[in-house]
Amino acid sequence: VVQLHRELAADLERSGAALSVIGNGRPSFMSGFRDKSDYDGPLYTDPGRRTYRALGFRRGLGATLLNIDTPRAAVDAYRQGFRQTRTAGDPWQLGGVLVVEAGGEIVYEYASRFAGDHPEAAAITTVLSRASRPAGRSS
Amino acid sequence: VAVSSAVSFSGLRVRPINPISGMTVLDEAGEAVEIDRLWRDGGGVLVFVRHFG
Repeated sequence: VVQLHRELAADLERSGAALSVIGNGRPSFMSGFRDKSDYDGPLYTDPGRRTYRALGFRRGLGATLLNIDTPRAAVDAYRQGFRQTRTAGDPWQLGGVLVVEAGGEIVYEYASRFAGDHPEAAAITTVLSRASRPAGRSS
Repeated sequence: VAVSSAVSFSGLRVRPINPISGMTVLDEAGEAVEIDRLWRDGGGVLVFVRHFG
């Protein structure tokens, strides 16, 4: 999350969009997340995971522990210095990323396919640059 | 015409409506926040994490 936040910082500034992180589990879990991640932006939780379900984000053993791509993603994350600590929230839930315009239209959506699967920041950058472009102009 | 969401191999989706508009999340104080606030002022990038671990 912090890495994505850093990579998108200039694009967020340019587009006027705000990055928010949403997790699941009790609100008390959020302070631990801040401590471990150094993330200092807007942070929320959806304890009932209603938003996750509405967006169709994957959940279950097949999407997490038993997914063939999960170990590779875990090794990659470990090599990059990330460490999995005690789970605070639903361990079987996967997440994703949305880009939503001010009017509420979802202009980009990425649903993680396995634990450790994230969209490329460049894809979000492209969407943000389109969203911030004045109406009527083409590329 | 009803259009359901479709998932490509890249994980990208196309969706005709916003299914979470009007829903609420909790802030760090445990107060309910309408999720629309996260994009209403200039748009938003919402990162849904697996968990807080």
